[in-house]
Amino acid sequence: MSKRYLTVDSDNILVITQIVGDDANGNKLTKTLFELSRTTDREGHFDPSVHTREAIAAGLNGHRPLSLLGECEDTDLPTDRYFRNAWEWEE
Amino acid sequence: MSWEVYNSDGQLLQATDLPDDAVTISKLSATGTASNSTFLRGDNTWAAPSGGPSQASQADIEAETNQDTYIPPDLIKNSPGVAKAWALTAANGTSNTVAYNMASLTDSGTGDRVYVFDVDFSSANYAASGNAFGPADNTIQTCIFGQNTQAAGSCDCLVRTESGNGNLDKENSAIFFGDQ
Repeated sequence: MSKRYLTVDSDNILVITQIVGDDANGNKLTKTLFELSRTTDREGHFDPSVHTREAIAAGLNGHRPLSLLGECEDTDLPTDRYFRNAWEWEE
Repeated sequence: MSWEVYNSDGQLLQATDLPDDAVTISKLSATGTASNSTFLRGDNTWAAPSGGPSQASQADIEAETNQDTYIPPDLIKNSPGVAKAWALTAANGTSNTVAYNMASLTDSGTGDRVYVFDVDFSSANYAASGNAFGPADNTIQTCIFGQNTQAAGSCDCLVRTESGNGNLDKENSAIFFGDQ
């Protein structure tokens, strides 16, 4: 089993992220949120000291506000694309 | 006056007649000092080897500078002709089978993947390429990169067919070239 992380795209559709390799300090996941939140900013580089999850959730210049919804195991995912597209996250 | 040297059997001793291991270092007329850190040069001198070429810098590798330096294994990736990131992504889009310089993969819907790089490109100006794998028929399947976002740190990929009927969940490859 491995972790999958859940957030939403610009159309508010649930999207699922797999982190590649170790992510002991959580920077890869935070960077993923930074990248997925881009709107007009194409050139900015992720800086973990500045682009915290709180800052990303509040909204950066050229980015939409984005937060992590939750996480699950890969075995929790609907295997069928039809059901996965219809999947909704509840706390 | 010339000398001729004979061995105990009365035979003329010539250079080719020297037995194996007969000449010791001390018998050589070379200048310099023989040691475990010197070698005998063609001019009959014991000399220490020079330091050899220095290590090329990342900037030199990126600029493909013509110089006598060496590129260590951890800097080869900086050559302009080397792929900076790549992945083989499973058909369902939720995992990479193999990957290089990838921080994460996001499944954004049917045939819609977002690659986040571990080490960013220096700008959003880089080349992306890839291929989609499907049944062995005549259907053309391809990857469209940067349709939604091509940024310094990430790039999206849509997997489509020639029919244009939306995206498809197919195994695909993705390769990225550019400056980091």
